[in-house]
Amino acid sequence: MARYILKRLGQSLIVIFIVTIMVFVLMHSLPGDPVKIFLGDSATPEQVEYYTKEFGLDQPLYVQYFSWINGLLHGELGRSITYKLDVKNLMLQRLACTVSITLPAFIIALVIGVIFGVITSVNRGKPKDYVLTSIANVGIATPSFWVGILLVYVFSLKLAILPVQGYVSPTESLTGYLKCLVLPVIVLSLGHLASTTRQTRSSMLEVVSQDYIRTARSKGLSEKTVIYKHALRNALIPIVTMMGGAIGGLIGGTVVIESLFNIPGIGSLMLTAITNKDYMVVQNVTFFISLAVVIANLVVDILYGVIDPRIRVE
Amino acid sequence: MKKGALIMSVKNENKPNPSQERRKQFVNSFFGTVPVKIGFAILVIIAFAAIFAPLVAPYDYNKQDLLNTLQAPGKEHLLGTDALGRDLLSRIIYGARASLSVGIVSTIIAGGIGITLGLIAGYLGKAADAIIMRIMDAMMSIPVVILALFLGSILGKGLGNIMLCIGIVMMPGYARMTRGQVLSVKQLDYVTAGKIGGATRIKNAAKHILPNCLAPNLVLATMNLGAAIMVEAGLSFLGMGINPPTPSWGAMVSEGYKYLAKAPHIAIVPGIFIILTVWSFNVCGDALRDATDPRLRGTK
Amino acid sequence: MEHLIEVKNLTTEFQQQKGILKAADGVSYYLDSGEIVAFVGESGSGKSVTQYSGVQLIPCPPGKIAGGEVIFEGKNLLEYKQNGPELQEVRGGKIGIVFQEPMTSLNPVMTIGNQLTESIILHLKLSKSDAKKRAAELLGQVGIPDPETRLDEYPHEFSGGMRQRIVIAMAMSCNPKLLIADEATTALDVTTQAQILNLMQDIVKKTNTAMVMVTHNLSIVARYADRVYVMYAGEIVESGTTEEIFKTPHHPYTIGLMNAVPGLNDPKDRKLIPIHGYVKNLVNRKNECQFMDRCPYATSECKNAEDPGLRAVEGEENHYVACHREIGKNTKVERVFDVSDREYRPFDYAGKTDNDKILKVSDLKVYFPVYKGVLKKKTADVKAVDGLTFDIYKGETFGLVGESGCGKSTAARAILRLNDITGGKVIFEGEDISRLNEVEMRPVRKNMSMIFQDPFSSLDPRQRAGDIVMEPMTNFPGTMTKAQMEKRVDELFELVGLDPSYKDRVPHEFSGGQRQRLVIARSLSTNPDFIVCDEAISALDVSIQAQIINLLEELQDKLQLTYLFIAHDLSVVRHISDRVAVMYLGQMVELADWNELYSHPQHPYTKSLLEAVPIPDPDLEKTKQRQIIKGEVPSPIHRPLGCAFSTRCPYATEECRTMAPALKTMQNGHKVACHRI
Repeated sequence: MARYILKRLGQSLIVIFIVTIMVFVLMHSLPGDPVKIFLGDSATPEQVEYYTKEFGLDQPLYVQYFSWINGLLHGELGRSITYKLDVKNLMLQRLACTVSITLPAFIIALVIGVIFGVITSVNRGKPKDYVLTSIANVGIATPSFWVGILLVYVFSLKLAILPVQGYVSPTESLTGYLKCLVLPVIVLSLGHLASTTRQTRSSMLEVVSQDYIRTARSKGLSEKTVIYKHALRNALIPIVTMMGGAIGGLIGGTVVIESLFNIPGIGSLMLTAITNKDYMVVQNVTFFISLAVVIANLVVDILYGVIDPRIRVE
Repeated sequence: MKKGALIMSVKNENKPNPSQERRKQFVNSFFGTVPVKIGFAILVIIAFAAIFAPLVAPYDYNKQDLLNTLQAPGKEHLLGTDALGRDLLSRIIYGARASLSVGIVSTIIAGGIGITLGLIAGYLGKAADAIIMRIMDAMMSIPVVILALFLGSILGKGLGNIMLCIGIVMMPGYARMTRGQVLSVKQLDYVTAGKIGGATRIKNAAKHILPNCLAPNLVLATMNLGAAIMVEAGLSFLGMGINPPTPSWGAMVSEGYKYLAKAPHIAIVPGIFIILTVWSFNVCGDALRDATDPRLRGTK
Repeated sequence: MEHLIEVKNLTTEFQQQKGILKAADGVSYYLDSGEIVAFVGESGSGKSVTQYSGVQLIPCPPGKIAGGEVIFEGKNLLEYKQNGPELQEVRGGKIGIVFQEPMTSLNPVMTIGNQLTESIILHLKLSKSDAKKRAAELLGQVGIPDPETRLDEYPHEFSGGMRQRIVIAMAMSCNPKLLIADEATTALDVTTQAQILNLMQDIVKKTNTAMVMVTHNLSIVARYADRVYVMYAGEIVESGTTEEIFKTPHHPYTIGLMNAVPGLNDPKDRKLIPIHGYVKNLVNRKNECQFMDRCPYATSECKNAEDPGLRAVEGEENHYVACHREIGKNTKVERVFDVSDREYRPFDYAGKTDNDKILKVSDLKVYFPVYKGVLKKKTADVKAVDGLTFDIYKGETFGLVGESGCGKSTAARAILRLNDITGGKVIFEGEDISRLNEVEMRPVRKNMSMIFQDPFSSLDPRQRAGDIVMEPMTNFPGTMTKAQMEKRVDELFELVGLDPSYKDRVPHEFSGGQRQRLVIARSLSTNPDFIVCDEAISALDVSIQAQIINLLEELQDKLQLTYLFIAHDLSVVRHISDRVAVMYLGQMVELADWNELYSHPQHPYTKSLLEAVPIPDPDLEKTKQRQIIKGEVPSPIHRPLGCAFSTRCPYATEECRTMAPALKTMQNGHKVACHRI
């Protein structure tokens, strides 16, 4: 098992390395001179030259790359042009917000998705299956922002129970905080709930047709035991694997959701930064988001090793 | 040996043309359930509308009519008008053009590059495999929307750039899938048989490995088409997608959000079309997978 | 007297695309405690479906138990709800099942201790710790060493044979009244098969449990079964005691089976008479005799009559047969199907020189490195083939036998240069091909080809049959035009018994036996001299195997082919081969003329192999005392020092354990690698 974890850790480090190169290259392909943007329209050529040297932007690319990496390792992440704050502090501020939406959405999508998936697979062909699966099929075809708008229309405009947008910190008002979160969390979780349901269903159906399930039945175990003790554990393996990718999707989804509901999280930060060509923010936030995804995948793979003993011997 | 003792198959007696039979069987299997029939019909209608948009759309999509803004659906304008008095139905039809073309072209780009990379990785193995797959992993670590925003900023707006951007972003999925297929097909006996029969490596790969890896990709492509359309809609919603005044369903939802209280249909109707199109692609993708899978499995 | 279980008129159907398939049609039988009853048949016979229907293990839909009763201990099991509590009590508690595939029958993510104790706790109502004790006890009884520690291990940590023992332990754990063994040993090696069958026989005799043995192997039936039910196309066509069935079979199918299967003590010129044709498609079956089209005794009466029911055989107590006519072993046939007129001629070794050898293998070694650790350091070698030396003469059939892991397939692939050779030489038709690269090897491939085991995966599902056969030709066109190639494809089709009009079909439109013919046609495409048959018939039904064996023999005569015939079925190898070699853990332990090897085996391993194989003759089987070898084949990574067989050999000495024996030649070319000879 330790060998397996080490191997995966090694692979993750390589991937992170490649990510840094990708982000760096992408950054330097963006149009526009960051110094001119920083100084604004009224910059004089002398100022431009001065600040170019000041920011180290006249150095060859690989030097810039290493100084960036060096900065990353020391927590030096530069400054945001738009917000006039250190990127590090900016990110931390916004992180809490994004996590408040992403974490509950993840849990809801996973737990309810698996439950629905098991229900549909056990009741295959019957009405329960047909209804839930059809809803799931529509669910993965529905854009999250559209659902958000629909719900806003119903709950905020017509019924006025929930706010249209905005964010209230929990220290200010707990109920306010929760009210702000309800719609974003629901909207964010829907797409993944639908795809988890589908995945679980197909995974369960495949497992239930395996020989060892027939053996379990032949021992006289109750259907409940067969499904929940024998089948589910095997069916969860591909689902756990999928969860790693889902995290990336959820983070991507927050960009849209935070924009729609005007929530000051990492997603909307990215959007503003790209629009305003706030390069320091874009570069570092992209990197940290990718880092989060890689770590999530690593955790998922380790979890995979816990569930499936065959992997540990690899 | 006695002639005339030819062993006949017990099935398939008196069948005139096996390839015709196979085609018929495939079609029957594909259109087996009701949802597929509906989905396929929807796709045909939308494609038709998109291709013949100038003939089908009742109004010019850009024609403003400031006297008739924010009209609810009615006789003159079947789906109503937007804030500038433009006919919603016409804008939806032209939006279909954008969505479908982006979906299809980006899928072709993604599939083309992805499958090629997957083939190389799977067939050559070792270093090539490791490098390509780690790069794919890295690409998949950057969330799709963010990567798309990034690439969009670099390439700029415009239909072609959006297609390229989404194409690149969705490419790793095909690479992964193809590589997996190549690895499992590579060790099947018929590939070995090809080698024993004297085929060169290239001929063996082209004749035996490649065709058997393509089928699952076709299914993936059909499902990913829907995803590509969703990504484009999301980008347009954020204002980073197709340039106005070309209508895009995602942009229309975004525009309509401002007038949600007064004229909700502007935001809601385009979304319904997104759902219909993506759902139809998904349903057809599922049916395609079911129709191609068991056929390959035959009976003993 | 009430039977333990009595099945009356059981009918099980499956809903398919084109109609209803009656997998079991009006099946009736009974079982008593303590007896071993065999259900014999091939694919489509319904033998497994019948057993599973009793405990309603059939997936419904698409299946449906359409009629009949299964009276077990006085109650009709079919009245209970599927997966309901009454049936759950019977399953595992009263009826235990051992399935065919040990590799997939156990839950991979649960410890075997867990899997054993859960049914013990459920049925015997023991506490957890008591259940654990009993589980360890059971494991010990089925021959798993160190049972207490192994309870916490997972299935993938056990070999196939051990897994099957675990499944047997599970099935017997709650003291069932009936044990169903569904092809329980088909997936196992010969010696393991013998061990497991003996184990099951011991257990059921000791506990007076009834046992159903579902199998296609007549020889196993002859050795172990008290009574036999022969099934064909979902019906019982003959039933009786083992003696009655073997001595005086009455149904044409039973007679056909016995004529088609080679036995270990047959005369060499015995002709295998295959059963012509294939099992009918049973969807929407009509009320007629299902065996008619394949029956050499069928008359016009049979064609006009209904499906025959079981009737008693005159003069024999319990012997029933479902046939309109009175047929016996000596009844004259009405039709003669493809009987080969090939006469057996022993291979003439006299006067053969080196020039007559088509293949010379000397000290062949094929090692696969094992990499461990993050840095991928080589820690060991898997010595799949470790020093193989033999020659094959032109026109000969050289048989190669051994159990799994012995390296026979690896050796064959190395000879065909599908693998790299780590050491030694392979000389084919005078040319040293040991170190040739891909490009240099290609022209050599014209003269050698291979027939694979699985007719499924050895044909590209997307290629048309005609193209499949033509492809090797297109690699070596020579002077042939496209038209000439097409013509040759037609000829090849006819040569293997396929209708050339089938050229446009794809593989899944053929049956298993036909696919194998296609594979054979492809292997003949470039007119090769040498063909490797790697388990060429193992995946086929027994009655089809004889068709293919006969075909291979005819082709050899017609086209002057040389075969390297690899198989694990000792009887088949004996029938077809001129000389036979035995491999164990990568080395050759014995090589001799077919008759010599089978009648005077010298090496202890060869002896144990032959002891383990049953003969389809119940009288001989009952009288023979058998020494079944213990233990399993060691892993090729951890080869024993000295003789590879020393860990299991009953005659092993210190010398055997420390020094590896060389292959010695005794008189008449008989070679043995053993210190004790």
